[in-house]
Amino acid sequence: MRKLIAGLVIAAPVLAAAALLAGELANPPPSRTRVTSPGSAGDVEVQGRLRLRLVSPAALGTVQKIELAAGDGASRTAVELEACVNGACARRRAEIEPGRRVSIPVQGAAGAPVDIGIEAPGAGGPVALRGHGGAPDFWLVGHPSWRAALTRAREQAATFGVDLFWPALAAWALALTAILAVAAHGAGNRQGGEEDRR
Amino acid sequence: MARSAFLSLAVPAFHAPDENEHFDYVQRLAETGRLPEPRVRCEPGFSPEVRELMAAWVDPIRFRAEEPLPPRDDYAWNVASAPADRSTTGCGPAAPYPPGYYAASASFYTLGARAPLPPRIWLARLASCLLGLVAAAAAYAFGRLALGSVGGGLVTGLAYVAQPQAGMLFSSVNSDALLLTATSLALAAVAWLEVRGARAPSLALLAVGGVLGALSKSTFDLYLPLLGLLAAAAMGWSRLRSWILAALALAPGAAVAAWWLVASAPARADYFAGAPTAITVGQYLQAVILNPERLKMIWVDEYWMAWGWLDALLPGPWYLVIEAMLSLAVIGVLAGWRRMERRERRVVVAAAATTGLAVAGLYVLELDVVRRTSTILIQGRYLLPLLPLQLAAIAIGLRRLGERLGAALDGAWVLPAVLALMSTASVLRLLGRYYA
Repeated sequence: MRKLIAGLVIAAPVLAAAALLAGELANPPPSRTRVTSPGSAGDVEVQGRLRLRLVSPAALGTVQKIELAAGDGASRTAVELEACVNGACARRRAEIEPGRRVSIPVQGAAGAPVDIGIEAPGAGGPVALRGHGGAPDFWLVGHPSWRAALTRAREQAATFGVDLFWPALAAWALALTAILAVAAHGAGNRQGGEEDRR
Repeated sequence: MARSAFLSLAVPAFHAPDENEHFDYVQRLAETGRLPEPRVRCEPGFSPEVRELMAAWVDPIRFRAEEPLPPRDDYAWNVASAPADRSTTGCGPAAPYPPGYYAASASFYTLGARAPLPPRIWLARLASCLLGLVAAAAAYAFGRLALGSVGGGLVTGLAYVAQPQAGMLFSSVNSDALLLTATSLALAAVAWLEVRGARAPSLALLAVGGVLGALSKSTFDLYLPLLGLLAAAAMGWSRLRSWILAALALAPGAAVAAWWLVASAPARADYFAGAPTAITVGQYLQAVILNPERLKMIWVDEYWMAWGWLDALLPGPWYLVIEAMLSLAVIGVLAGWRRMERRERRVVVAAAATTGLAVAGLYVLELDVVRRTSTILIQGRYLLPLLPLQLAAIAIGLRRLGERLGAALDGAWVLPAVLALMSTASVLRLLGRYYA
């Protein structure tokens, strides 16, 4: 019993780290895709009401929410956001802050058009929503997925001019597995470790 | 190599610590064959093609951990730039650094002379990947010799390759890669001196480590005397011969460091030409050193895992696990001191003493920088040159605690296992940070 408790104390950091890792693996990040409405280029100001139509890429899967990323040049103000997919609409009031995101939940399948309405009733003038490239910057947030993140990482890695992402990932995973296997073997082989000394 | 090769592809261009500054030096060397202009303040800085990439992929999300990487096609990544777009003065924070690492990285860069910018960044990263292989082998040799067993070498070497922050440095364009390699080689030489006595091969290896370190980064000047102390101690404190041999072995490195100190004087003068601040030692102690948030950020987060622009951190509990493991190691050292072998005691004392001296030296250096430029200096990774020694000491503490408690497990192996799991979590964080 004493040996078991002692072993648990010693192994506690490994057990805690394994539990943390398992928790993270079970909670993949949501996949996000930036979209810009074809008609929104230059529509960087909301005066009264701005309406946009976004189409989510089919690869995204189910869209769970839409984020509006305000650029550093955005006005700090309160807006009414509305998002409609297939006639079902969601509304919320949000504070626009430069460099921050606001989100509005939607439920829609990828590929369906999403109608966005932005109102700034209390602004008393045009409200700048400068996102990337001068246009309001919308991100469609899909279902959580490691596969989507890995796929995007592989696409980005291809910019380095070599298509070695998957082999490199496999080699890295193999190496880490080997480290854990060696550690497990070494931890249970205390006597062997002592005898090994010269 | 597997770790470095994967990270070199998975980390987006210029999303490793200060990678753009280091790459600028590499580009200057590769494109012109000349050292950077001796200035650290310049506008706009960088080559036009680097500025363009930064504007598309880095500036919109740097220091905004919740922002994913902008779409790939925001930057024309597959277009080769004109020679004029690659021209840079090299002026920047890296300009005062010695050219050793940058020359190695530039030689890889030139392999893709006609390629677009991202492939040249990746090629420049390969120099760090290869250095990581040498450093890991040196860490194994250090552990093998210092702990007296193959198991000790594996614990130290595997923990070294699994340490997340070192992994980042060995997969990106950063002169720390050569610095860490140089000190790992020098530490292996010190352990060799300890085990086999003063022989020509071990002294030559120490000399190689000293020269490479002096060619890597100015921070090495802080570690050079510490390596001298360790080498003399390894050969015997009380013998004058030990001190003379240690000094002779490190003399080439010291000469290179002195040469570079003179050669880089104009660049350092520009670095120190910032707005001075009148701050007393007491004020610095209170506001900077004893600031609990900064203490944790530097010596825990930045030492173990702060990727990207130090803006990609693991969730808080991971650092608590590391702190708990270190606490167990300290308890193990205290509780098992009497039963420790002599060589283990020497490793623990050497790790504690050199780490303490390095921290003190860094703070003294930082106070000078704060007074002269009003900017802070220290990042936790500046302690990583002692990583093999520190890992071996932690492993000893964990092993002795296990023995003291009567555990059937060899506690030393907890260290590489935790770091391997942490390394995996770091990659998940990388995916979530940039590619979600």
